[in-house]
Amino acid sequence: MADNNITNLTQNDIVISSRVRLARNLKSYPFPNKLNDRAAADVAEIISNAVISAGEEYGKSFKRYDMTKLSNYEALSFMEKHYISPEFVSETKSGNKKGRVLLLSEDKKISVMINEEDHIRIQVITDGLDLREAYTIADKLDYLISKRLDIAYDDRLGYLTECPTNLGTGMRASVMLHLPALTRTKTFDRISANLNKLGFAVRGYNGEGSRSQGNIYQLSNQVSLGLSEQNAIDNLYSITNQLVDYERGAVSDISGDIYVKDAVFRALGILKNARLITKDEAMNYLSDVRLGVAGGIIKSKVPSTDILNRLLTDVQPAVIIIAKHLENKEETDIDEIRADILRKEFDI
Amino acid sequence: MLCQKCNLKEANTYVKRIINGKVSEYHLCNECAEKMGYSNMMSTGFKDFSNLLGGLFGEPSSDSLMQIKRCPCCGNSISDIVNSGKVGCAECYSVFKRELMPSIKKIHGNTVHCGKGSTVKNGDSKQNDTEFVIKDLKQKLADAVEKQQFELAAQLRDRINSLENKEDKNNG
Repeated sequence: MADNNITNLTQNDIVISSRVRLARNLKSYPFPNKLNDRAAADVAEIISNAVISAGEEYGKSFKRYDMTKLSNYEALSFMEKHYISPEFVSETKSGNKKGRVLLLSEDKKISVMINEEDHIRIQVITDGLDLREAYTIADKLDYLISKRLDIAYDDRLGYLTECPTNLGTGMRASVMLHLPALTRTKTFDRISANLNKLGFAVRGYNGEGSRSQGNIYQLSNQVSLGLSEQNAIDNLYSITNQLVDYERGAVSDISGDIYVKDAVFRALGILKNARLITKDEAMNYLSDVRLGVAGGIIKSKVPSTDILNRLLTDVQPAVIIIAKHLENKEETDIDEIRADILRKEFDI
Repeated sequence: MLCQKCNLKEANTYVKRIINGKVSEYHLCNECAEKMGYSNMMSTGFKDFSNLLGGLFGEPSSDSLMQIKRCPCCGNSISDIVNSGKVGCAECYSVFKRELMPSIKKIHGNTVHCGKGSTVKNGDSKQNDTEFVIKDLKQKLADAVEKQQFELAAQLRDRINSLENKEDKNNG
Protein backbone atom coordinates (compact mmCIF):
# COMPACT_ATOMS: atom_id res chain seq x y z
CA MET A 1 0.00 0.00 0.00
CA ALA A 2 2.85 2.38 0.79
CA ASP A 3 3.98 4.58 -2.04
CA ASN A 4 7.27 6.34 -2.54
CA ASN A 5 5.47 9.63 -2.77
CA ILE A 6 4.32 9.44 0.82
CA THR A 7 6.16 12.22 2.51
CA ASN A 8 4.18 12.41 5.66
CA LEU A 9 2.67 9.74 7.88
CA THR A 10 -0.60 11.62 8.12
CA GLN A 11 -0.75 11.92 4.31
CA ASN A 12 -1.51 15.60 4.71
CA ASP A 13 -0.85 16.34 1.03
CA ILE A 14 -4.16 14.58 0.28
CA VAL A 15 -5.91 14.39 3.64
CA ILE A 16 -6.02 18.04 4.65
CA SER A 17 -7.66 17.52 8.02
CA SER A 18 -9.63 15.11 10.19
CA ARG A 19 -12.63 16.02 12.27
CA VAL A 20 -14.69 14.32 14.96
CA ARG A 21 -17.98 15.77 16.16
CA LEU A 22 -20.04 14.51 19.10
CA ALA A 23 -23.68 15.54 19.61
CA ARG A 24 -24.98 15.65 23.19
CA ASN A 25 -28.07 17.01 24.91
CA LEU A 26 -29.12 17.88 28.40
CA LYS A 27 -31.72 15.52 29.79
CA SER A 28 -33.81 18.12 31.57
CA TYR A 29 -34.28 20.69 28.77
CA PRO A 30 -36.14 20.37 25.47
CA PHE A 31 -33.91 20.22 22.40
CA PRO A 32 -32.90 23.60 20.86
CA ASN A 33 -35.83 23.69 18.38
CA LYS A 34 -38.25 23.71 21.33
CA LEU A 35 -36.37 26.11 23.60
CA ASN A 36 -37.63 29.62 24.15
CA ASP A 37 -35.06 32.43 24.31
CA ARG A 38 -34.87 32.40 28.07
CA ALA A 39 -34.40 28.66 28.41
CA ALA A 40 -31.82 28.77 25.59
CA ALA A 41 -29.88 31.38 27.54
CA ASP A 42 -30.06 29.18 30.66
CA VAL A 43 -28.83 26.18 28.69
CA ALA A 44 -25.97 28.27 27.29
CA GLU A 45 -24.89 29.31 30.79
CA ILE A 46 -25.10 25.81 32.26
CA ILE A 47 -23.12 24.25 29.42
CA SER A 48 -20.56 27.07 29.14
CA ASN A 49 -19.73 26.75 32.81
CA ALA A 50 -19.46 22.97 32.57
CA VAL A 51 -17.22 23.09 29.48
CA ILE A 52 -14.93 25.75 30.92
CA SER A 53 -14.61 23.79 34.15
CA ALA A 54 -14.08 20.51 32.23
CA GLY A 55 -11.43 22.31 30.19
CA GLU A 56 -9.62 23.35 33.34
CA GLU A 57 -9.50 19.75 34.50
CA TYR A 58 -8.24 18.76 31.05
CA GLY A 59 -5.65 21.55 31.00
CA LYS A 60 -7.29 23.35 28.05
CA SER A 61 -8.60 26.87 28.27
CA PHE A 62 -11.62 27.94 26.27
CA LYS A 63 -12.62 31.36 25.05
CA ARG A 64 -16.32 32.16 24.95
CA TYR A 65 -18.05 33.88 22.01
CA ASP A 66 -21.73 34.77 22.11
CA MET A 67 -22.84 34.43 18.52
CA THR A 68 -25.33 37.30 18.70
CA LYS A 69 -22.49 39.63 19.69
CA LEU A 70 -20.20 38.70 16.80
CA SER A 71 -20.29 40.72 13.58
CA ASN A 72 -21.44 38.88 10.46
CA TYR A 73 -17.92 38.81 9.08
CA GLU A 74 -16.46 37.49 12.33
CA ALA A 75 -19.05 34.71 12.37
CA LEU A 76 -18.42 33.91 8.71
CA SER A 77 -14.66 33.82 9.22
CA PHE A 78 -15.18 31.27 12.03
CA MET A 79 -17.18 29.19 9.58
CA GLU A 80 -14.50 29.50 6.90
CA LYS A 81 -11.97 28.29 9.45
CA HIS A 82 -14.36 25.41 10.18
CA TYR A 83 -14.70 26.25 13.89
CA ILE A 84 -18.48 26.38 13.44
CA SER A 85 -21.06 25.00 11.02
CA PRO A 86 -22.74 27.09 8.29
CA GLU A 87 -26.05 26.49 10.09
CA PHE A 88 -24.71 28.00 13.31
CA VAL A 89 -23.94 31.20 11.38
CA SER A 90 -27.02 31.50 9.19
CA GLU A 91 -29.61 31.09 11.86
CA THR A 92 -27.78 33.41 14.20
CA LYS A 93 -27.77 36.03 11.48
CA SER A 94 -31.51 35.89 10.99
CA GLY A 95 -31.81 36.66 14.68
CA ASN A 96 -34.29 33.98 15.69
CA LYS A 97 -31.85 31.88 17.66
CA LYS A 98 -30.68 33.17 21.00
CA GLY A 99 -28.38 31.39 23.38
CA ARG A 100 -25.90 30.31 20.74
CA VAL A 101 -22.45 30.24 22.20
CA LEU A 102 -19.13 29.06 20.83
CA LEU A 103 -16.36 27.89 23.13
CA LEU A 104 -13.05 27.75 21.31
CA SER A 105 -9.89 26.23 22.77
CA GLU A 106 -6.71 28.27 22.78
CA ASP A 107 -5.06 26.07 20.14
CA LYS A 108 -8.30 26.39 18.05
CA LYS A 109 -8.50 22.62 17.68
CA ILE A 110 -11.52 22.11 19.90
CA SER A 111 -14.76 23.97 19.48
CA VAL A 112 -17.95 23.45 21.41
CA MET A 113 -21.09 24.83 19.79
CA ILE A 114 -23.92 25.39 22.24
CA ASN A 115 -27.54 25.38 20.98
CA GLU A 116 -26.76 24.42 17.42
CA GLU A 117 -29.05 21.56 16.35
CA ASP A 118 -28.21 19.89 19.67
CA HIS A 119 -27.41 21.51 23.02
CA ILE A 120 -23.77 20.46 22.79
CA ARG A 121 -21.66 19.85 19.71
CA ILE A 122 -18.06 18.99 20.56
CA GLN A 123 -15.81 19.26 17.54
CA VAL A 124 -12.11 18.44 17.29
CA ILE A 125 -10.04 19.09 14.16
CA THR A 126 -6.56 17.69 13.59
CA ASP A 127 -4.15 18.15 10.68
CA GLY A 128 -3.80 15.35 8.15
CA LEU A 129 -5.28 11.88 8.67
CA ASP A 130 -5.45 11.71 12.43
CA LEU A 131 -9.01 10.71 13.31
CA ARG A 132 -8.00 8.65 16.32
CA GLU A 133 -6.25 11.62 17.91
CA ALA A 134 -9.30 13.78 17.18
CA TYR A 135 -11.59 11.17 18.74
CA THR A 136 -9.39 10.72 21.80
CA ILE A 137 -9.54 14.44 22.54
CA ALA A 138 -13.30 14.68 21.90
CA ASP A 139 -13.96 11.58 24.00
CA LYS A 140 -11.93 12.88 26.94
CA LEU A 141 -13.63 16.27 26.89
CA ASP A 142 -17.03 14.56 26.53
CA TYR A 143 -16.27 12.42 29.58
CA LEU A 144 -15.27 15.46 31.63
CA ILE A 145 -18.37 17.40 30.51
CA SER A 146 -20.71 14.49 31.24
CA LYS A 147 -19.33 14.28 34.77
CA ARG A 148 -20.73 17.77 35.27
CA LEU A 149 -24.01 17.55 33.37
CA ASP A 150 -26.98 15.25 33.12
CA ILE A 151 -26.79 14.01 29.52
CA ALA A 152 -29.74 12.50 27.63
CA TYR A 153 -28.89 8.85 27.08
CA ASP A 154 -30.98 5.77 26.45
CA ASP A 155 -29.71 2.22 26.90
CA ARG A 156 -31.12 1.16 23.58
CA LEU A 157 -30.82 4.29 21.42
CA GLY A 158 -27.62 5.66 22.93
CA TYR A 159 -27.16 9.44 23.01
CA LEU A 160 -30.47 11.14 22.25
CA THR A 161 -30.30 13.84 19.61
CA GLU A 162 -32.68 16.33 18.02
CA CYS A 163 -32.35 14.68 14.64
CA PRO A 164 -32.73 10.87 14.65
CA THR A 165 -29.89 10.65 12.09
CA ASN A 166 -27.42 11.31 14.94
CA LEU A 167 -28.78 8.80 17.49
CA GLY A 168 -26.44 6.24 19.02
CA THR A 169 -22.90 7.50 19.28
CA GLY A 170 -23.90 11.03 18.23
CA MET A 171 -20.65 10.97 16.33
CA ARG A 172 -19.75 12.18 12.86
CA ALA A 173 -16.16 11.57 11.88
CA SER A 174 -14.94 13.14 8.68
CA VAL A 175 -11.86 13.76 6.59
CA MET A 176 -11.21 16.62 4.18
CA LEU A 177 -9.72 15.18 1.02
CA HIS A 178 -8.02 16.89 -1.92
CA LEU A 179 -8.66 14.66 -4.96
CA PRO A 180 -7.72 16.56 -8.14
CA ALA A 181 -6.67 13.55 -10.24
CA LEU A 182 -9.73 11.46 -9.39
CA THR A 183 -11.91 14.49 -10.15
CA ARG A 184 -10.16 15.25 -13.45
CA THR A 185 -10.49 11.66 -14.64
CA LYS A 186 -14.18 11.67 -13.56
CA THR A 187 -13.44 8.61 -11.42
CA PHE A 188 -14.59 10.29 -8.24
CA ASP A 189 -18.22 10.63 -9.39
CA ARG A 190 -18.39 6.88 -9.77
CA ILE A 191 -16.62 6.18 -6.47
CA SER A 192 -18.79 8.72 -4.69
CA ALA A 193 -22.02 6.90 -5.66
CA ASN A 194 -20.60 3.69 -4.18
CA LEU A 195 -19.46 5.43 -1.03
CA ASN A 196 -23.05 6.49 -0.38
CA LYS A 197 -24.18 2.89 -0.62
CA LEU A 198 -21.51 1.89 1.90
CA GLY A 199 -22.83 4.35 4.48
CA PHE A 200 -20.52 7.29 3.85
CA ALA A 201 -21.55 10.80 2.90
CA VAL A 202 -19.57 12.93 0.47
CA ARG A 203 -19.98 16.67 0.88
CA GLY A 204 -18.39 19.92 -0.21
CA TYR A 205 -15.74 22.07 1.41
CA ASN A 206 -17.99 23.53 4.09
CA GLY A 207 -19.85 20.33 4.94
CA GLU A 208 -23.58 19.73 4.63
CA GLY A 209 -25.21 21.43 1.68
CA SER A 210 -21.99 23.00 0.38
CA ARG A 211 -20.30 22.46 -2.96
CA SER A 212 -16.77 21.33 -3.59
CA GLN A 213 -14.13 24.02 -3.83
CA GLY A 214 -10.76 23.35 -5.41
CA ASN A 215 -11.40 19.58 -5.70
CA ILE A 216 -11.77 19.26 -1.94
CA TYR A 217 -14.39 16.94 -0.50
CA GLN A 218 -15.57 16.03 2.97
CA LEU A 219 -16.10 12.32 3.56
CA SER A 220 -17.98 11.23 6.69
CA ASN A 221 -19.76 8.29 8.31
CA GLN A 222 -23.56 8.35 7.98
CA VAL A 223 -24.57 5.65 10.41
CA SER A 224 -24.26 6.37 14.13
CA LEU A 225 -26.61 3.79 15.63
CA GLY A 226 -25.49 0.18 15.87
CA LEU A 227 -21.88 0.93 15.03
CA SER A 228 -19.34 1.80 17.72
CA GLU A 229 -17.18 4.93 17.50
CA GLN A 230 -14.14 2.74 17.04
CA ASN A 231 -15.69 0.79 14.18
CA ALA A 232 -16.97 3.89 12.43
CA ILE A 233 -13.49 5.43 12.64
CA ASP A 234 -11.79 2.23 11.48
CA ASN A 235 -14.12 2.11 8.46
CA LEU A 236 -13.38 5.71 7.61
CA TYR A 237 -9.63 5.08 7.88
CA SER A 238 -9.80 2.13 5.57
CA ILE A 239 -11.88 3.99 2.94
CA THR A 240 -9.64 7.06 3.22
CA ASN A 241 -6.49 5.01 2.74
CA GLN A 242 -8.01 3.38 -0.33
CA LEU A 243 -8.98 6.76 -1.77
CA VAL A 244 -5.47 8.08 -1.11
CA ASP A 245 -4.04 5.11 -3.00
CA TYR A 246 -6.48 5.63 -5.90
CA GLU A 247 -5.60 9.30 -6.02
CA ARG A 248 -1.86 8.60 -6.09
CA GLY A 249 -2.44 6.08 -8.87
CA ALA A 250 -4.52 8.58 -10.86
CA VAL A 251 -1.87 11.28 -10.32
CA SER A 252 0.86 9.13 -11.87
CA ASP A 253 -1.51 8.20 -14.72
CA ILE A 254 -2.15 11.79 -15.75
CA SER A 255 1.07 13.56 -14.80
CA GLY A 256 2.58 12.99 -18.27
CA ASP A 257 -0.42 14.58 -20.01
CA ILE A 258 0.52 17.86 -21.70
CA TYR A 259 -2.86 19.43 -20.82
CA VAL A 260 -2.29 18.64 -17.17
CA LYS A 261 1.25 20.01 -17.29
CA ASP A 262 0.02 23.16 -18.98
CA ALA A 263 -2.73 23.69 -16.37
CA VAL A 264 -0.23 23.19 -13.54
CA PHE A 265 2.30 25.72 -14.87
CA ARG A 266 -0.38 28.26 -15.76
CA ALA A 267 -1.68 28.00 -12.20
CA LEU A 268 1.80 28.48 -10.79
CA GLY A 269 2.36 31.51 -13.04
CA ILE A 270 -0.88 33.12 -11.95
CA LEU A 271 -0.32 32.51 -8.23
CA LYS A 272 3.17 34.02 -8.55
CA ASN A 273 2.17 37.05 -10.62
CA ALA A 274 -1.52 37.96 -10.57
CA ARG A 275 -2.66 41.22 -8.95
CA LEU A 276 -6.33 40.28 -8.52
CA ILE A 277 -7.56 36.78 -7.65
CA THR A 278 -11.09 35.68 -6.71
CA LYS A 279 -11.60 32.99 -4.10
CA ASP A 280 -12.73 30.38 -6.64
CA GLU A 281 -9.67 31.06 -8.82
CA ALA A 282 -7.38 30.80 -5.81
CA MET A 283 -8.88 27.47 -4.73
CA ASN A 284 -8.62 26.04 -8.25
CA TYR A 285 -5.05 27.22 -8.91
CA LEU A 286 -3.87 26.01 -5.50
CA SER A 287 -5.39 22.65 -6.38
CA ASP A 288 -3.54 22.57 -9.73
CA VAL A 289 -0.24 23.43 -8.05
CA ARG A 290 -0.72 20.68 -5.46
CA LEU A 291 -1.40 18.27 -8.31
CA GLY A 292 1.80 19.48 -9.99
CA VAL A 293 3.80 18.82 -6.83
CA ALA A 294 2.25 15.37 -6.28
CA GLY A 295 2.88 14.37 -9.89
CA GLY A 296 6.47 15.59 -9.87
CA ILE A 297 5.60 18.11 -12.62
CA ILE A 298 6.83 21.13 -10.67
CA LYS A 299 10.53 20.79 -9.89
CA SER A 300 11.09 24.32 -8.60
CA LYS A 301 10.53 25.30 -5.00
CA VAL A 302 6.92 25.83 -3.90
CA PRO A 303 5.42 26.46 -0.45
CA SER A 304 5.39 23.44 1.88
CA THR A 305 2.29 21.26 2.27
CA ASP A 306 1.61 22.89 5.63
CA ILE A 307 1.58 26.34 4.03
CA LEU A 308 -0.50 25.14 1.08
CA ASN A 309 -3.02 23.72 3.54
CA ARG A 310 -3.08 26.92 5.54
CA LEU A 311 -3.62 28.99 2.38
CA LEU A 312 -6.93 27.17 1.73
CA THR A 313 -8.26 29.01 4.77
CA ASP A 314 -6.24 32.22 4.34
CA VAL A 315 -7.78 32.96 0.92
CA GLN A 316 -11.39 32.75 2.16
CA PRO A 317 -13.17 36.12 1.93
CA ALA A 318 -14.32 36.70 5.53
CA VAL A 319 -10.97 35.46 6.86
CA ILE A 320 -9.23 38.13 4.76
CA ILE A 321 -11.74 40.81 5.75
CA ILE A 322 -11.22 40.15 9.46
CA ALA A 323 -7.44 39.68 9.26
CA LYS A 324 -6.93 42.91 7.31
CA HIS A 325 -9.79 44.98 8.77
CA LEU A 326 -11.56 45.45 5.44
CA GLU A 327 -15.17 45.48 6.67
CA ASN A 328 -16.15 48.44 4.46
CA LYS A 329 -14.05 47.73 1.40
CA GLU A 330 -15.10 46.65 -2.11
CA GLU A 331 -14.77 43.13 -3.42
CA THR A 332 -11.91 44.07 -5.75
CA ASP A 333 -9.87 45.24 -2.76
CA ILE A 334 -10.24 41.79 -1.23
CA ASP A 335 -9.19 40.18 -4.52
CA GLU A 336 -6.13 42.41 -4.54
CA ILE A 337 -5.14 41.46 -1.01
CA ARG A 338 -5.76 37.80 -1.76
CA ALA A 339 -3.35 38.05 -4.71
CA ASP A 340 -0.79 39.77 -2.43
CA ILE A 341 -1.06 36.98 0.17
CA LEU A 342 -0.54 34.32 -2.49
CA ARG A 343 2.35 36.13 -4.25
CA LYS A 344 4.13 36.53 -0.94
CA GLU A 345 3.97 32.80 -0.20
CA PHE A 346 4.92 31.78 -3.76
CA ASP A 347 7.82 34.22 -4.01
CA ILE A 348 10.45 31.70 -2.90
CA MET B 1 -26.95 9.52 -1.42
CA LEU B 2 -29.92 7.23 -0.93
CA CYS B 3 -33.49 8.48 -0.70
CA GLN B 4 -34.20 9.34 2.92
CA LYS B 5 -37.69 7.90 2.72
CA CYS B 6 -37.32 4.49 1.11
CA ASN B 7 -33.56 4.19 1.60
CA LEU B 8 -33.47 2.03 -1.52
CA LYS B 9 -33.19 4.28 -4.53
CA GLU B 10 -30.72 6.99 -5.33
CA ALA B 11 -32.04 10.39 -4.23
CA ASN B 12 -32.48 12.81 -7.12
CA THR B 13 -34.94 15.29 -5.67
CA TYR B 14 -33.69 17.81 -3.20
CA VAL B 15 -36.30 19.38 -0.94
CA LYS B 16 -35.49 22.43 1.12
CA ARG B 17 -38.15 23.74 3.47
CA ILE B 18 -38.06 26.97 5.37
CA ILE B 19 -40.66 27.29 8.09
CA ASN B 20 -40.40 30.23 10.47
CA GLY B 21 -36.83 30.69 9.37
CA LYS B 22 -35.93 27.09 10.16
CA VAL B 23 -34.32 25.31 7.25
CA SER B 24 -34.71 21.58 6.74
CA GLU B 25 -33.26 19.68 3.83
CA TYR B 26 -34.21 16.28 2.44
CA HIS B 27 -33.01 14.10 -0.36
CA LEU B 28 -35.66 11.93 -1.96
CA CYS B 29 -36.02 9.69 -4.97
CA ASN B 30 -38.48 10.57 -7.75
CA GLU B 31 -41.10 8.11 -6.66
CA CYS B 32 -41.13 9.01 -2.98
CA ALA B 33 -41.15 12.71 -3.82
CA GLU B 34 -44.18 12.19 -6.02
CA LYS B 35 -45.93 10.00 -3.45
CA MET B 36 -45.40 12.71 -0.87
CA GLY B 37 -47.04 15.24 -3.14
CA TYR B 38 -43.97 17.16 -4.04
CA SER B 39 -44.40 17.03 -7.78
CA ASN B 40 -47.76 18.79 -7.75
CA MET B 41 -47.33 20.66 -4.51
CA MET B 42 -48.59 23.94 -5.90
CA SER B 43 -51.94 22.54 -6.92
CA THR B 44 -52.69 20.38 -3.89
CA GLY B 45 -52.50 23.09 -1.30
CA PHE B 46 -51.01 23.43 2.12
CA LYS B 47 -52.33 20.24 3.66
CA ASP B 48 -50.28 18.07 1.37
CA PHE B 49 -47.29 20.27 1.79
CA SER B 50 -47.26 19.85 5.54
CA ASN B 51 -47.53 16.11 5.10
CA LEU B 52 -44.65 16.13 2.68
CA LEU B 53 -42.35 14.44 5.12
CA GLY B 54 -44.98 12.23 6.67
CA GLY B 55 -43.28 9.22 5.16
CA LEU B 56 -40.06 9.88 7.00
CA PHE B 57 -41.71 9.31 10.33
CA GLY B 58 -44.54 6.95 9.47
CA GLU B 59 -48.05 8.03 8.52
CA PRO B 60 -49.48 9.79 11.54
CA SER B 61 -52.50 11.39 9.89
CA SER B 62 -54.29 8.05 9.54
CA ASP B 63 -54.59 7.62 13.28
CA SER B 64 -56.38 10.41 15.06
CA LEU B 65 -55.48 9.07 18.51
CA MET B 66 -51.81 9.54 17.85
CA GLN B 67 -52.37 13.18 16.96
CA ILE B 68 -53.75 13.84 20.41
CA LYS B 69 -50.92 12.16 22.31
CA ARG B 70 -48.46 14.80 23.42
CA CYS B 71 -45.08 14.62 25.09
CA PRO B 72 -45.52 15.73 28.72
CA CYS B 73 -42.09 17.35 28.68
CA CYS B 74 -42.07 19.51 25.53
CA GLY B 75 -45.68 19.34 24.36
CA ASN B 76 -44.83 17.91 20.95
CA SER B 77 -47.22 15.60 19.15
CA ILE B 78 -45.99 13.06 16.64
CA SER B 79 -47.22 15.27 13.81
CA ASP B 80 -45.11 18.16 15.18
CA ILE B 81 -42.10 15.87 14.92
CA VAL B 82 -43.10 14.70 11.46
CA ASN B 83 -43.65 18.22 10.20
CA SER B 84 -40.41 19.66 11.55
CA GLY B 85 -38.27 16.55 11.08
CA LYS B 86 -36.96 17.25 14.56
CA VAL B 87 -37.61 15.54 17.87
CA GLY B 88 -38.62 17.90 20.67
CA CYS B 89 -36.83 16.49 23.69
CA ALA B 90 -35.25 13.36 25.14
CA GLU B 91 -38.60 12.27 26.59
CA CYS B 92 -40.20 12.23 23.11
CA TYR B 93 -38.13 9.19 22.26
CA SER B 94 -39.90 7.13 24.92
CA VAL B 95 -43.33 8.73 24.47
CA PHE B 96 -43.31 8.16 20.68
CA LYS B 97 -41.08 5.10 20.68
CA ARG B 98 -43.52 2.99 18.67
CA GLU B 99 -44.02 5.70 16.05
CA LEU B 100 -40.35 6.64 15.73
CA MET B 101 -38.73 3.21 15.71
CA PRO B 102 -39.55 2.31 12.08
CA SER B 103 -37.92 5.47 10.74
CA ILE B 104 -34.91 5.08 13.04
CA LYS B 105 -34.48 1.59 11.65
CA LYS B 106 -34.79 3.03 8.13
CA ILE B 107 -32.12 5.64 8.77
CA HIS B 108 -29.52 3.48 10.50
CA GLY B 109 -30.49 -0.05 9.55
CA ASN B 110 -30.30 -0.78 13.25
CA THR B 111 -32.05 0.19 16.47
CA VAL B 112 -29.57 -0.85 19.14
CA HIS B 113 -26.74 1.42 20.18
CA CYS B 114 -23.30 0.00 20.55
CA GLY B 115 -20.42 2.22 21.40
CA LYS B 116 -19.72 4.60 24.23
CA GLY B 117 -21.76 3.78 27.32
CA SER B 118 -23.51 0.87 25.68
CA THR B 119 -23.86 -2.68 26.88
CA VAL B 120 -22.66 -4.01 23.55
CA LYS B 121 -18.94 -3.54 23.61
CA ASN B 122 -18.07 -4.00 20.00
CA GLY B 123 -19.97 -3.65 16.75
CA ASP B 124 -18.69 -6.96 15.46
CA SER B 125 -19.98 -9.07 18.29
CA LYS B 126 -23.54 -8.46 19.30
CA GLN B 127 -22.71 -10.36 22.44
CA ASN B 128 -23.80 -8.70 25.64
CA ASP B 129 -21.10 -7.65 27.98
CA THR B 130 -23.51 -6.48 30.59
CA GLU B 131 -21.58 -7.84 33.52
CA PHE B 132 -18.58 -5.71 32.66
CA VAL B 133 -20.74 -2.61 32.32
CA ILE B 134 -22.56 -3.26 35.60
CA LYS B 135 -19.25 -3.64 37.39
CA ASP B 136 -18.09 -0.34 35.92
CA LEU B 137 -21.34 1.39 36.86
CA LYS B 138 -21.18 0.04 40.42
CA GLN B 139 -17.71 1.50 40.79
CA LYS B 140 -18.99 4.86 39.52
CA LEU B 141 -21.95 4.60 41.91
CA ALA B 142 -19.61 4.09 44.86
CA ASP B 143 -17.58 7.12 43.75
CA ALA B 144 -20.70 9.23 43.38
CA VAL B 145 -21.95 8.29 46.85
CA GLU B 146 -18.57 9.06 48.34
CA LYS B 147 -18.58 12.50 46.70
CA GLN B 148 -22.22 12.99 47.80
CA GLN B 149 -23.38 13.40 44.19
CA PHE B 150 -26.71 11.87 44.98
CA GLU B 151 -28.49 12.85 41.79
CA LEU B 152 -25.83 11.10 39.74
CA ALA B 153 -25.89 8.16 42.13
CA ALA B 154 -29.64 7.78 41.69
CA GLN B 155 -29.26 7.70 37.91
CA LEU B 156 -26.47 5.16 38.11
CA ARG B 157 -28.55 3.01 40.41
CA ASP B 158 -31.49 3.17 37.96
CA ARG B 159 -29.25 2.13 35.10
CA ILE B 160 -27.73 -0.73 37.08
CA ASN B 161 -31.20 -1.92 38.08
CA SER B 162 -32.50 -1.82 34.53
CA LEU B 163 -29.43 -3.65 33.23
CA GLU B 164 -29.67 -6.28 35.94
CA ASN B 165 -33.36 -6.82 35.20
CA LYS B 166 -32.57 -7.16 31.51
CA GLU B 167 -29.88 -9.69 32.21
CA ASP B 168 -32.14 -11.69 34.49
CA LYS B 169 -34.69 -11.83 31.71
CA ASN B 170 -32.05 -12.98 29.25
CA ASN B 171 -30.78 -15.64 31.58
CA GLY B 172 -34.24 -16.69 32.65
